[in-house]
Amino acid sequence: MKGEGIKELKKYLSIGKPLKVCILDNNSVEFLTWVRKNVSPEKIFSQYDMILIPKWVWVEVCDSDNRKSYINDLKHYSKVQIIDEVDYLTLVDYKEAELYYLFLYCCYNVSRLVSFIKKNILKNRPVEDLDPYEEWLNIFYEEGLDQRKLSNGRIQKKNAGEISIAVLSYILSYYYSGSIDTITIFSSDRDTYEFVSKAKEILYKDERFKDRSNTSITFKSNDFLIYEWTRLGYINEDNIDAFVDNYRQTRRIKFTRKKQDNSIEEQDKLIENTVFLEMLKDSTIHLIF
Amino acid sequence: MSMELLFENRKLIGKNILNIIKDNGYTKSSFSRLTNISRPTLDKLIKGEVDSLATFKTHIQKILESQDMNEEQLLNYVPKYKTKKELVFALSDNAPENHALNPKAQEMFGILEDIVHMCELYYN
Repeated sequence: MKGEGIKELKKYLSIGKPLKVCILDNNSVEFLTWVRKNVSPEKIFSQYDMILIPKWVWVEVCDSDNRKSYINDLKHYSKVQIIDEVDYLTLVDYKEAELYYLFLYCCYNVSRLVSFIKKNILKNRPVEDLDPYEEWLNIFYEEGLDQRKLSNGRIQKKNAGEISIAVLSYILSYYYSGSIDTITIFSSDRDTYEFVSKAKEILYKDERFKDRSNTSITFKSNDFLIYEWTRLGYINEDNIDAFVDNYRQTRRIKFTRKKQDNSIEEQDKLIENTVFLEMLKDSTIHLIF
Repeated sequence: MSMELLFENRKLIGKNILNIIKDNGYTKSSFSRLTNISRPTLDKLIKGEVDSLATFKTHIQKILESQDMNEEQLLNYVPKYKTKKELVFALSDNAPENHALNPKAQEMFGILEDIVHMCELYYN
């Protein structure tokens, strides 16, 4: 998205209507293509005013025609926008130093990336002396991220999608809190969750951000979606065993459960399909990720 | 308040512009794009080294418009944040120019740097 496109998006994000925004990760798109026959995209996405996909994620989506076509079809149910990371600067009203901190904080779980940013982007200068955003973003993408060549010849950049999603979600959270009601990330990638969580911890301590209003960022992992779909009756009881068997694998889930005295326990553990099927029947459970 | 008074105090105005950049999360480069002032001219404004009143007026006007401020607010600008002493990562490299570290040494230095940054992460 360039020039006019990003200005239109900014305008849309500032209309004051409480928007429901969804950000899509590649792994969730893959999952949704599998279950398309069982749960239609309309049921999942028509509640969102806007579906955003960062360009670094879109590159991954385009490795599969199925995923690409799924996204193209979403245009019937919601406004779908692919955002070039270069345009993040326009979204933050040229507050490039703040954008730098958002990138830095969203990478804080990977100390190698923190080192890279400090050594090759900040270069021991005050942040106001940073090189232009396009230049350092390019250095970060091309030289900072680990890479490997895929069978289709594309060079895959490790964590690019997760970092971009985390940065975009905080841009929406901090710069458009007045007009965005919910920011939901569709992802089952633990890295995406961890990057967003770590950044939140640091942003709450950072004097540039700590007193600002912000919209909370929530997740819908594949497991969350299955849980939600059973509650909404999109998957009926007779089919749930086969559905879980076909589309789910053992996975670590973060969740809460209400105890008998109404206190809440927190859990974060590996859940096998048999245990997951039991969890689906338990209405005291809330899946976080 | 007249622009002439700002021009007379251009060193102070320069400092205030830098504080506006820092306080609002801009960089000099992004502020230059936002205000449509070339980077060399912005550097001169910050250093208080613009000697032409006409040039000074034109560019200060752009800054005032972009920040929705008036002349008086610019002259009396109070920084929002006290300058925080940030940790500086200091390296001393006495190797001759063009010296390439052997891969093992490079790896060791990489690990050391990561440890320093991890310390910073937890120290904060």
